[in-house]
Amino acid sequence: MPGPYRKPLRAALFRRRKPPGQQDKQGQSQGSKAQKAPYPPLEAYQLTAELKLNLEQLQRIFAKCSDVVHRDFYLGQAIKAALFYIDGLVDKKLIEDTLMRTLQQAPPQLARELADRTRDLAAVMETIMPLTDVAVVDNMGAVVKHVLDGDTVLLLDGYNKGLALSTRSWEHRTIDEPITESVVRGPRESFIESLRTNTALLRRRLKTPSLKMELVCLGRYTMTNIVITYIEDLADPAVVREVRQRLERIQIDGILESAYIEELIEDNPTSPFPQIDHTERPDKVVAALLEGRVGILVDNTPFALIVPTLFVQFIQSSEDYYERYYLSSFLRLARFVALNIALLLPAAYVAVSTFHQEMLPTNLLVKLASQREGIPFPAVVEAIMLELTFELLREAGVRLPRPVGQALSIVGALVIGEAAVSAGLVSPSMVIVVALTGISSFAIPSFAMAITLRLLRFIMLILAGTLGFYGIMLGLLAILVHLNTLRSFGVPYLAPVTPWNFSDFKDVLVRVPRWAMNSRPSQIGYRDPVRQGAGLKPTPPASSNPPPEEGRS
Amino acid sequence: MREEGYISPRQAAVLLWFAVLPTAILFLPALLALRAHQDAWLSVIVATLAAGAVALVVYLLAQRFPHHTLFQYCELILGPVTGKTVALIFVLAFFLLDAVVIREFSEFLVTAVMPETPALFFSLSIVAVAVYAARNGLEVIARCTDFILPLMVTFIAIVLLFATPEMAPRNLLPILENGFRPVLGGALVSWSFLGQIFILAAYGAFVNPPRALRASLISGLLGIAFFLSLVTMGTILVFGSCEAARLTFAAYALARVVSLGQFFERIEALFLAIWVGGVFIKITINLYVVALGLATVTGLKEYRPLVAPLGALNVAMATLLYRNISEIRHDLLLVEPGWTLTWQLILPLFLLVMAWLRGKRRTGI
Amino acid sequence: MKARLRLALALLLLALMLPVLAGCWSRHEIEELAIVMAVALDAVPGDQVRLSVYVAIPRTIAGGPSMGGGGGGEPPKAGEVISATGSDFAQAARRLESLVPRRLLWAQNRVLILGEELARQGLHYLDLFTRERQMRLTTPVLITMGEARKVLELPPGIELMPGTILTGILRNRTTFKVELKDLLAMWEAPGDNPVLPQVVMTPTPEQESREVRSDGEDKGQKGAYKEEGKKTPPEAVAIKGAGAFRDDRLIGWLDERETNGLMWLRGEVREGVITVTLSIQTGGNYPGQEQGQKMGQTITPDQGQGQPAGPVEGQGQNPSQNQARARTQGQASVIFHRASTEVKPRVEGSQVTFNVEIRGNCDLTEATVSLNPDRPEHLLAIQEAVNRAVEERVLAAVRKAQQEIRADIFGLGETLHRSNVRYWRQVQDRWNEEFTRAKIQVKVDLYLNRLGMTNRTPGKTLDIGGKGATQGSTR
Repeated sequence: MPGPYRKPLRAALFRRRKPPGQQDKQGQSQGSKAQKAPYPPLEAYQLTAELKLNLEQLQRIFAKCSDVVHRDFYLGQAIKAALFYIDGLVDKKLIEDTLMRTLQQAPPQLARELADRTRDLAAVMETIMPLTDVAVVDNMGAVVKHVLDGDTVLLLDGYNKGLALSTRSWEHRTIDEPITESVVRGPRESFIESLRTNTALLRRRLKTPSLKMELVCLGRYTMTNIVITYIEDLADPAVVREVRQRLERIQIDGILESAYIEELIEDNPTSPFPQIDHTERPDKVVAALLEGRVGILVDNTPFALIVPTLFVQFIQSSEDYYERYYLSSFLRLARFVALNIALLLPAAYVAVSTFHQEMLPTNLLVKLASQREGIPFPAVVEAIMLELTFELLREAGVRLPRPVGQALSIVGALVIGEAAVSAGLVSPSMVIVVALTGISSFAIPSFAMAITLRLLRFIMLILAGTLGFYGIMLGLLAILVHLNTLRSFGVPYLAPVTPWNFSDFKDVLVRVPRWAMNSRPSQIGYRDPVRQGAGLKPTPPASSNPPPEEGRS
Repeated sequence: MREEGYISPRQAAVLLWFAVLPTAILFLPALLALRAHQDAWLSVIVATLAAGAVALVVYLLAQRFPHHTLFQYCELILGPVTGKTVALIFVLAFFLLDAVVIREFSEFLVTAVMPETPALFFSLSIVAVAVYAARNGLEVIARCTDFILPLMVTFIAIVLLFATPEMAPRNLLPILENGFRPVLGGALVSWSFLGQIFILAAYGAFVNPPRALRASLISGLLGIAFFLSLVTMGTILVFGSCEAARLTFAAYALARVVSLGQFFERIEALFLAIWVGGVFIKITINLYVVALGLATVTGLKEYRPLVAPLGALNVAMATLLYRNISEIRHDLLLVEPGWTLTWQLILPLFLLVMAWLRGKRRTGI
Repeated sequence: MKARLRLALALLLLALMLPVLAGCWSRHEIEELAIVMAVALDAVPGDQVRLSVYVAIPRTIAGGPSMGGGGGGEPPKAGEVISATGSDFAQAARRLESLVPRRLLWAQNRVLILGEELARQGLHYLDLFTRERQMRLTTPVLITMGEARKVLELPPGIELMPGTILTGILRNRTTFKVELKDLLAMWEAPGDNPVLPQVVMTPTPEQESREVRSDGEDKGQKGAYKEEGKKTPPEAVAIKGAGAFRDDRLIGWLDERETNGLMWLRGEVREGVITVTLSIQTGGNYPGQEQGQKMGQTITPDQGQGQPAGPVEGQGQNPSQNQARARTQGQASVIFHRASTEVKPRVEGSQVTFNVEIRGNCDLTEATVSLNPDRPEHLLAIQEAVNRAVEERVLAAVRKAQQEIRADIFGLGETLHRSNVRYWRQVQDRWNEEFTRAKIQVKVDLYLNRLGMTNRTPGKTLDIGGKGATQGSTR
């Protein structure tokens, strides 16, 4: 609506959303597809032909923004023009050397042509515009968005349209090794906070036009660019559609990290288990895309999301696919064992030592009993205390600067453990159990799953402390039922165990050799099940000896 | 009310296995040894053959009414009033069965594992988890079995394997010492457990395709017979028929005998944990069937709200049903065979005959 | 409204969980337990029974940090023996709990020892040990002459506790092992009677000398129990012999040989050594006789005790140097690793005959009489001797069982049951009497296979089987 621009009330922005299809009081249908600009009415402000008015409005909008640069100049010494950009987001050299120089030194003939206003601005400008990425803007909302994105907006006097020129360039981290997922063998590139760089990393690996990148803009104040990426032939269109719908229904203040999106598009938000995987590694995203999954890249964060996600993915790591399959299979099994240990070991220890002492071999029982002489706490309490201490130590280690933190947490754990044992507060066997559990939870590749297990471990501890093995089994059954109810974008969470698919097991507990991985995971890549040719197992030539020479034996 | 999920025929067979085996391997061998002495394993085989009759009836009824549960086609066959009454009888029978299972479960845990804990606690806790599972539907229950089945099978195999040093084959002789009558007597006792395959009539409607029910039934029955006879035979081989009759909890006693080296012994607590998983499935599927049946009979659209109250009622029923374990044994030996015969064989047979006479059938869904 | 319902349900769940917090009933902390390692059952006068348990003291066994270096002098006790009496064992167990500051854990019990008096009264009290959920049916059961409690007071040796000592000895398989479930099976089967291995306490030579040297203290019989606070006398324990029951009462004892025969007959023999005495009779010319002529040396098994051989009386020969050192009387021992026993009953009219066939392979392990097993007749002689020895033992056991015990402790009735059901049905009620009339024929077929690392016995030879072997001696 025209008129002086006014900031709306904050409350009005977050009024409860009505279900789609209904009309609100103003008669406008809510829930439209496009994300509205921070100041809803801005699109309605059209550019006028008077440069002065446009500039006034722009300056009012960007009042007190000291990093906005406004440059007036004459195009071809004839037409008054103005450039608008935000310092820090643009490549100033490009603007100064290329853009300004070309435009200022444009031949006067051009200016005369421009005086003829019936000719299209864009077509004319295409003859002298040195920059490549050019968009036409006709309303204030678009102008503001482009300026905030890092484009330079060129406004001409006498034209009610402007040009947005892509001059984006800003400081960002260099592409370095992934911090959370480093491997011994494999590419060492990781995503960075710049969306375009990230998409480029994907493009470099998937050189096919089927790799689609759909753009969505979320966050009223952050206007974060989000890219949905998938391979068109492989991904389930229903999943892609679902992803797009869920993203577009998000109405939020700002998206700072992909975790915000993760929590907003999950299938089962009340479940403690992660249902969406995230990664810093481009090769992991590409592998997922090749299986038929959909990736979500979010600006300003190196963590990309992958949907749909299955439980088994949380014990897989990229390195499995780059090392030989014997080692990978062994490590996978070890990780699976680590998963169980991380969840069950303290609980099992408590259950066995307080309820089912007959299970222990006599020597072990006697040793344990002698260790626990004089310990003032029951085993359950001891276990919970030690676990909590361990958690605190771990958390403290994260906060400290990197070189100090790791050493401190290890030393701290040892020292505290030793001191507690000497003081007679805990038994040495409990320290061992807690340490083993901690180590196992670090062995799980996915941090999200490790955290979940940490929480569940406490519940299992309490159950074990009250009901022994029966309690542990109850807890496991409850977890099992819960896991079976989870779906990730329509795919059952516990595939391939349920629904059972034998061929999918080639990548679950073991990794079969590369030449045996002929099919994609059935629940996800069913559109094109065959991944590679059948007879790929390498066979050496029949004989590596050279044929005998003539005349010799 | 209509379950949205479908289960595969294989899962149906596995559910059948779970619907019979967990409590059967615990209680049945002792009762069989009482009746048939060292021929107890023959009783199992005979009883399985007899259970084939139930399977046949269930299959024929399912063929006539594909994708209809037992409660639905009761009504179709016998008309609204009589049909609903008969369906209600079935619901009550399953309810009683569930209560018996819960009671057996808590009795075992209290006696063998944690005597100080009140039995009510066990019933409540397991039914709470069972309610949670049953509310989520048949598909979830079937998926859980995919995890628990390998555990149970492995553990039974381990127990049987490692109890082999303690086995004495001569305990099985002389075969058929007193003729065939004790075997038949034992078979009758097994009937109280084996007839429970009838539960397939209630959830068989959700198996896709209906024709595969035959394979499910046969493989389920064979699996049950195989494991049950193995465990029974194992019990007799290890303990001898006289002692086996004295042991109330047979499979548990077998697990206690296992000793491998000096280290791997006294593992019965593990057996207990895994067995709890098996009984959990049995309780859940029964609870689900009861809720489904009640919802069908009363015409409700959703069965989910009924599950929790029925669970609570089941716990109460389990506590009130018997006074002590002697009553349970008495019931299993003398009462259950007849009762199960009635509602799991004769009544469905009646239904089948009526359906055939009246020409009622449904094609498709 | 839905939220309220959820709230109500949540509160209900919370309320249900409260009893959990109040106290977990079956939870017993591991340090609150008294671990019972051995159980001894006795009868005391006054129609009471006494339950003695050996409770382990974990502190001393594990030697935890609080122990530090071992105190000078006597090593700390690994456990304590605690007894309580009562009218039956459940009552005694209850009374026991009033003597022990911790809760008794029966699940780790290693052995059950019955006293003689108690066993003579019957086995009915064992019901506690099958009904109680912590007791295990795989516990070995032993019997002892006299009081069972004394066995628990063994001093520690290689193993720290009597329970472990006894199970260790049982594991050596020199004697048969009867677990509780086997005992019950033997008891309940109509054609079998229980028999239990016997624990014997013997004084060590140190103790005997100490008894001689002691000042004025009257030790009484061996293994006298000292007062509290003083050192328990060092004793050795052995498991040899057996106690035989009829139905459920202890009737008599079998000594080592008879027990061995019992084991053979029951087929419970695992490994074992059989020693036989042999004597050589030399005859004929020597040396330098032609080959092929009978060497004239025969080896015969000797029934009597072997005397250490002295020099051979010349029997018409030149006592050459070689012969002077020959041993003509001695023993040979064979070791066998597995043997099988098969019992075949045969019924003729009312006479039952059991044909026992014992088969196996054995290896020569020691020969103190000079012999050369390469010669077939020597080998055969040893084999014969071994077979006869086994047969003798079996017959000795059978004699004992038929004449003194008058009960079938071999399970032959069950064998009959399995093969001749009809006849069994007639006699099963009075089988023990029928058994005394039964005939048992033993045929032993133990083949001597291997000879160990050497073949003929060492020493200057009698030229057994060839040229004089005096050449080529190393020294």
